[in-house]
Amino acid sequence: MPGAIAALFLLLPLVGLLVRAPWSGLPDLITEHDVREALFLSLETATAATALSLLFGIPLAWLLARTRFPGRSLLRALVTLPLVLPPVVGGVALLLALGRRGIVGQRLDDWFGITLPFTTVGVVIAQTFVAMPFLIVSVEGALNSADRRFEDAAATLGAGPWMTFRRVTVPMVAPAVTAGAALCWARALGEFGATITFAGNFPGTTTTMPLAVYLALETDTDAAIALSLVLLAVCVAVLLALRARWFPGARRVLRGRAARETPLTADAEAGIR
Amino acid sequence: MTAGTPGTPHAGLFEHGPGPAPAPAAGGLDARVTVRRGQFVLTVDVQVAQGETVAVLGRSGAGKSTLLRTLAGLLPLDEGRVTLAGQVLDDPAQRRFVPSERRPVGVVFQDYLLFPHLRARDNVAFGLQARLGQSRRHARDRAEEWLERFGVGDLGDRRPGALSGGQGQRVALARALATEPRLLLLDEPLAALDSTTRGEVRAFLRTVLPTLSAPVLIVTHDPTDAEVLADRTIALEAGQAVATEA
Repeated sequence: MPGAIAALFLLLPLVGLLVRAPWSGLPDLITEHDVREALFLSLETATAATALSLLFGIPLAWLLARTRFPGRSLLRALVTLPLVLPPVVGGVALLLALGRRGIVGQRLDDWFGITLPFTTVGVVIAQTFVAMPFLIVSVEGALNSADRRFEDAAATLGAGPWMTFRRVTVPMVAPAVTAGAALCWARALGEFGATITFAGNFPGTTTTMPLAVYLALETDTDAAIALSLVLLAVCVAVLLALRARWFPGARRVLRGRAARETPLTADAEAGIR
Repeated sequence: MTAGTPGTPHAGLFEHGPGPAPAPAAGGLDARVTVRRGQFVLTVDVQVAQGETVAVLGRSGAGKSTLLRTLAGLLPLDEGRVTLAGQVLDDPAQRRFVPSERRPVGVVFQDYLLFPHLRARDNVAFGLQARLGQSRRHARDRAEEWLERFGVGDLGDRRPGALSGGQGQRVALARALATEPRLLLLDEPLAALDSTTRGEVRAFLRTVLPTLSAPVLIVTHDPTDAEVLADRTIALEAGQAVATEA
């Protein structure tokens, strides 16, 4: 029974959204200039943030999973901090670091004339800050639970480190990379707190979809609902894509772990220790 | 896991009379292995002649897997020397160590470690591409021939997850032998199998192993497997050879 209440509680707001939706006026509302602008800005910035996260996040995940260096646990904790940190706090922190008077931001402004806050680039930075941990955690987990004896097997078959990385390690964590990137993208798409704090709310440059929803709610409820529906549709699409991609991947990761924990491997470990 | 239980050196199972010293043949393996890991020390001499099959018999923690890893080049020696067909593979005194990817050694791992994202055919072709530098297409054709030879020619399209234990063993053996190794290592080849498949795979190995010209080393905890598959057995206990049976 409490389970049913929980399910209802999660479902009800979505039903409310669908019931109250101004279906007849929807095509007009969605194709409005401001809406299209906000939607495209959101899609662009979320994609850019995901690309940045892949570029820098995968190497960091690899470092955390495969190397030993002092301060590694501290770094891991720091990486996961944005997952639990209120995004507004993240925005304030970004402002203090990269803002015009921030420790780094001031130098950027003085030396290069680069200003990050209240620009589209600022939006991408705020989104990356909040969303990258999702990718890192996903990929690091997969690298950790991937059975490294497959890499040994590759070596005994004559594969050097690069070929092993390319043909064994990466394909075996690929599902986690895809899943992590999808989560990261969805998180970036919905990012509100850090964005509005660090990048502000300027239509055309920093007003992403969530900001537009908030703005519209004060003036035009129907528009806010329409915008919400668009975001909902995008998220459902991501979820469906995840179901197809993520779950087979999760199964593969589990299978690798099961294989690693067969009792006879303990012999190898006992011998090494 | 503890590193081996110190037991009486002549526990019933491993009691064998001393046999004649094996003559190290030109193409064979000659290994004097010492590896230290904390309290645990593995010290064992192993000679396997060309065409000979030797079993290393021991309980969990006796150091069997450590021995196998040193011979495969996955773990360097602390002392001693490993030569194969006259080539020095590991000699810490001379600072020589040939890493796994450049050793002519084939390994069948105990749970096969077939790459789960590759089909059976591509698992076999992997080594042909990596070690022998064959093109993808050529390697695939050769891989098909190897699968054919071991009676699993119709399974080339399957992924390892869709293979039975016995089929996986055959594919793993094909993958190891396709790289034309000069030493074949089998790690607990029958441990992962149920009793029915066990007999079948044992019979299969019994027909295949004698046809190989390379020396074969089998690591096992099962005296029956050692008896049936090997020409000679080395019993290992707490990192030491207990007795060698002729």
